[in-house]
Amino acid sequence: MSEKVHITDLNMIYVSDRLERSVTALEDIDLSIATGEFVCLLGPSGCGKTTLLNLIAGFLQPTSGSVLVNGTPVSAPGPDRGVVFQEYGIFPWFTVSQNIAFGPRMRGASKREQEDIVRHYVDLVHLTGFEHHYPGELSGGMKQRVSIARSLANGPDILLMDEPFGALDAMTRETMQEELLRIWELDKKTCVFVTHSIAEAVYLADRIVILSAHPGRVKDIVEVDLERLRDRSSGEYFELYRHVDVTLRVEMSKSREEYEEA
Amino acid sequence: MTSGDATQDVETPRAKAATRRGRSAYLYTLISLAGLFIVWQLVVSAQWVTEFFLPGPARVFSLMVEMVVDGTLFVHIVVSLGRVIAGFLLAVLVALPLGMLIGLWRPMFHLVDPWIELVRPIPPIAWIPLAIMWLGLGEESKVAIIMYGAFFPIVLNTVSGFRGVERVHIWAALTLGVSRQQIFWHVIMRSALPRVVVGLRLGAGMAFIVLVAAELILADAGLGFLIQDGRYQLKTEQIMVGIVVIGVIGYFINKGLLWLESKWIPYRETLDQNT
Repeated sequence: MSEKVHITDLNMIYVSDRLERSVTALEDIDLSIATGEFVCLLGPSGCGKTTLLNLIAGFLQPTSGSVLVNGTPVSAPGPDRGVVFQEYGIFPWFTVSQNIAFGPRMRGASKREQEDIVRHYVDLVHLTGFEHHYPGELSGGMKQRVSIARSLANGPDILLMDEPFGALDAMTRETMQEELLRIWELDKKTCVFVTHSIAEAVYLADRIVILSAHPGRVKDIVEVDLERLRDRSSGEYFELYRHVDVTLRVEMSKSREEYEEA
Repeated sequence: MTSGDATQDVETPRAKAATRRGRSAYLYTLISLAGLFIVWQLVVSAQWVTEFFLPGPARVFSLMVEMVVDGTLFVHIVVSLGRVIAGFLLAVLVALPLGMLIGLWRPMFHLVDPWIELVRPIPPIAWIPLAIMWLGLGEESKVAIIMYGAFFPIVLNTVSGFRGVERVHIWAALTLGVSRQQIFWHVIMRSALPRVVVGLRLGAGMAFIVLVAAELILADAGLGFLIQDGRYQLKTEQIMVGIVVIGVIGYFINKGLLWLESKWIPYRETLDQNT
């Protein structure tokens, strides 16, 4: 498999005006993501996982080091990297259809093309019947379906997802995870998925990148070699869950000690 | 994209209930208004107050009819509305671009905001002497006072509309490969629009409220003049005609603007939620 994302010697330091000091969000990150791979970035809050995603998306520029996508350094956001945000990020002034068609419409797609795209993606995320609803009329899970459809409708090469199901209730969350995998299995787009839920990472990922906090470093990378769709109650699933959980716990207590010493 | 069948199916029962509620609300409004007129007439008929201090609705209404027939009321309304529209449009012309600039560009906010906050509490009437000295007793000073009143709601709401554009919406557009110019028109402008329209509605309302103050400046026509003139001539019913007409017109202007708002921003009811 070819390489899709390549991150080397990456450091990200924020200067906080308010605290009058700099904060190291990410330190010495080296990470390679293969084409078609589903990678979860997992870690406690404050570990810089969202920052790492934003660097791949091009919203931020690293303090040092490099982020390559398809061998090219990332300098700005672009349509090759679709993003699904935790706070949805769909436009409340557009209907579901208009949200989904927005990217293609701005590129100058014909009315016909737009209609075809909308029909296809509305069907894909199971929103048939809600085409003309405004986001404010939808539940959280439905909004996130719109957000996923809008990203996919623009034909990205990579899908970046920032805790997309974090705001959903547990039941909706599991349904959305299953739906996401169903869609992902269709063309196996490279997917980088940020989460703080171990269960979610073990359920979704090919590989789990465990990040430590303060500063954010790659602590461990866990391969998940289970057949999809995974049985959330199987022994293997639980073994992996335990392994990741222990790694994270050790990490969190360590960072707490360091924090208390400092 | 026309409105879908699915949407209508889903909303039909709700729409019906809303119509029922609307009808009974209408009834309450009628009862309430009729009650007021009856009490008003009773107070006068029972001679609890003299008709000099409070003319009854019958007397006010008959003068109103008289003025409608001889055409004078129409002239007063047209003159006043002309001033309100001129003042409002001038306010829009200045407040919209200024508000947009302040909302989008931080240094501009810090430069202009202190002045806005400093001048805003000064009521329009306080400016009348200066307005007369600077602009004379003609239309200019009256229109300027109205413009002053309408300016603040428009500029403040425009500023908050543009400052409220969410970063996640801009980022989302960038990842869709949308150009800067398209982001300005389809994201920033669209995002600010609901607040801007609220500002326009409040500004129009304020222009109308300030009208009477503006017509305190030497005027020979207009609804404010009607009230002033009634005072000098001790014609209480003429004062009442002026007051009632201003109330009624103000009511319909607000209703009309609310209706326009719901046409321009059909998703208005769905806002104020986490999207």
